[in-house]
Amino acid sequence: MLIDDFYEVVDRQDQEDGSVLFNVRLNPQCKVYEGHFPGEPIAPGVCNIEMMRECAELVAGKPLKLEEISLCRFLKLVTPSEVTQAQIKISLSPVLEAVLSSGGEDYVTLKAVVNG
Amino acid sequence: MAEKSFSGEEIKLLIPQRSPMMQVDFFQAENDLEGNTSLTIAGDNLFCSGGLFREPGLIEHIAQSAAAYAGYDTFRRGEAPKLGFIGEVKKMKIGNLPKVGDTVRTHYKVLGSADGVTLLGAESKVGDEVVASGRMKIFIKQ
Repeated sequence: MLIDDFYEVVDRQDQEDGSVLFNVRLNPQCKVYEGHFPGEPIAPGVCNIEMMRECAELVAGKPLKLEEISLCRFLKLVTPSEVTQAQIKISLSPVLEAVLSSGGEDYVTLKAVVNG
Repeated sequence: MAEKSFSGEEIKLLIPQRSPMMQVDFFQAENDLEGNTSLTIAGDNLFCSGGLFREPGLIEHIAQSAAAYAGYDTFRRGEAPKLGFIGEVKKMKIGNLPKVGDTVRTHYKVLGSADGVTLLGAESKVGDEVVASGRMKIFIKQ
């Protein structure tokens, strides 16, 4: 993974519709929080995008590059002290559609063109 | 008169991000709506892997270009930079990934701004090659 210790994948559940659900655990001790922001740790939006890309690679079984982010919406801030567990749903059709949610609420939605 | 330029450590006057998250090392406004930023990719950059500056680094560089734009306004009022967050990334094309040692130069243009939300378009180049271009919405915490 690009950012050491930002998160770990706990498990993977393949769905009947071809999508894959990943349970991930966020690490509030990750060094990114030293700078984002001092005394007010908030997961950088781009790190959430990177988690989605890396989960998509696990689904594809090969490296994927983001060619275009068609639309990515950050609906709620991911604060590592509160959001320690999250779910990432990945569909590759072959457009990447991903949702990061926690506690039944969506935090980040992504639609992107990937190439691998 | 040319607008004041900021480089290196001076960027901390404009953005709230700190090491290892800082992804802008130069900022200069052209006018109230447009300006330029840059970042030279260090080998130990958080977003580098295999000698390449990966997608989230490019997107964060553009987000921090927007943060610096907003921070320049607060700087001129004598205030410290406020926290800002990406609200939306739209039609952001990513080209060839920059390499360690490359300098990414970004031109931004503010497309709209209201109530702490700024919509901004940006194009980032290495030399003459476009490496990223698209739109972003940034929320500034008031």
